[in-house]
Amino acid sequence: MSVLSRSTRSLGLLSRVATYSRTSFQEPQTVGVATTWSQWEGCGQHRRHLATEQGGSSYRQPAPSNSMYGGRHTVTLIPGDGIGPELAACVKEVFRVANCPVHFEEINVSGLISDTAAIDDAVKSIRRNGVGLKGILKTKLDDVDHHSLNVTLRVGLKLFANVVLCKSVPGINTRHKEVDIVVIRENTEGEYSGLEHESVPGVVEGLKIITSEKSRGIAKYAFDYATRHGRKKVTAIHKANIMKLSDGLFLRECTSVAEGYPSIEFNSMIIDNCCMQLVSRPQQFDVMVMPNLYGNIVGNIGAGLVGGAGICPGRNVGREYVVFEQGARHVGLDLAFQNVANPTAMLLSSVQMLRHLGNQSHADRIESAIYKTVSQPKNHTRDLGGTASTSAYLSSLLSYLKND
Amino acid sequence: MVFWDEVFEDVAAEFPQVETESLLVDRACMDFVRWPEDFDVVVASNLFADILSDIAAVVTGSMGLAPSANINPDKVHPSLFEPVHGAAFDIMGKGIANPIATVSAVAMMLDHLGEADAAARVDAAVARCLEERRVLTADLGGSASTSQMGDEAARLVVAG
Repeated sequence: MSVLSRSTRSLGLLSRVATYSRTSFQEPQTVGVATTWSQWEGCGQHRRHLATEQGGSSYRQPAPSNSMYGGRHTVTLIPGDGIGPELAACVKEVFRVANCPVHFEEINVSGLISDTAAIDDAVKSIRRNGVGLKGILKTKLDDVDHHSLNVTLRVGLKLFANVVLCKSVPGINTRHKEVDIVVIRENTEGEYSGLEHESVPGVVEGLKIITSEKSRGIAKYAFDYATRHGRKKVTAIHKANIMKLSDGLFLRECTSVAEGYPSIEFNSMIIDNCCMQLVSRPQQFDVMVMPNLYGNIVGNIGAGLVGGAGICPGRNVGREYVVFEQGARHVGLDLAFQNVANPTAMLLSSVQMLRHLGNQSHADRIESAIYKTVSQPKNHTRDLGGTASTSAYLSSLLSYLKND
Repeated sequence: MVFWDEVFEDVAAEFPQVETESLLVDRACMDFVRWPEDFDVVVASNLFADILSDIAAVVTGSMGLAPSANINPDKVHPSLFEPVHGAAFDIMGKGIANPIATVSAVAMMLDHLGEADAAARVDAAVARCLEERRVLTADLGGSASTSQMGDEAARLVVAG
């Protein structure tokens, strides 16, 4: 394992080459303390990769946000459209009561109006702070010139990996139990390249872009994630039997990266069979890695298995920035301002953000309060088959926090 | 407007008595898992329907149950009927595969050929076999073999 000092950061290209080399992502060995240069999770600061006595590794980050002043992190908050603003308000209130050392720099962006200045502000703010928390921005379907602002943010900040945590929650009754799947989706290319044309009326062609570089990058992220979090298996999802060149390339890169992680089991599955397997026996999956569109679908199926879009947290990770958001990205325009939205996913995403910032104790307290709250049917919102309002859920959660 | 939605709306206008709805595929997948009974007929482009039909097959109980048809509507070329499930090499030769998907595909074929009565009899036999729960393959929680369940379905066609 190489030890890279802070001064190597200035070498730019050299450190980048070092991180791309296979050896830097092999499993940690049991040494006392080892320092590895990892640029995978946001903020561009080097991380300490500590080996425990048991030979595993814990991943702790001393000061991972770019903007930290007086012990408080500054984080960009983009409430978004639909139910976004109410859920952002829940997060702010929970953080206030829990006394989290986080200051939110709020940027209001909406996909409902054409305002490129606002999205530029949001991108600049995240570049400055390094960490963001966002709601979902509406993408208008009927305007071909209107590009998804969510995609603009992800591509502009090079947030190449989307991670959705689909984990069963005690108290939420679902068909399948003990589901614990991490869906890792390539976030910036594939079917979302936005390259379509109608050269002949009534015939539209779309380009799906798959590159070696990004396929390799997302595969490495997935295996690195599995290593860091003690996960046992990575499954690559594809349709290489039909899309032999594009998905074939993706699959080859995953297989090649897998060779560098011999103790992580690797297999691959075709997307349609994968969906069948998810619905019949989801417990067989651990970490899953796939191109953009399949990730969108599998992430939503995973969320559906554990209770829906209101449950799963997610994040968008780049080499320099990380933006947390709900795992299943639904705007919920029809639910907005009715006090019915489920805040669990957004709150769990904010907990993930606190962990990323190094505030483990605040994260633990809030997460414990969330699970206590949502485990009771009286706090189940409409999407979970209950009748609780967002505010009733929130007050139950706050009382757990205060009595903690 | 989105090309797919344009065409859908044009055709829907010719059938005003049919209720229509449009969903993004990720939403559809989630709703298939959570509330599949809300869906009736679903039309989608190639990849999306490939994925949705496989989810639907399992959601109804087993991938061994769902039949499918690849239809040439003008009957200029042959139509192809097959189960939704794949080759299942892992259980090949063990005699435990559920034959109902293939049997129901035959019913779809009979229907396509204009033999509506025969098709209805096959469908009714399959429904009775599943309701009675006496002869079921392993995927449905039973212990019958492929041929036992197939024979039972055949017996019910004759008896029915």
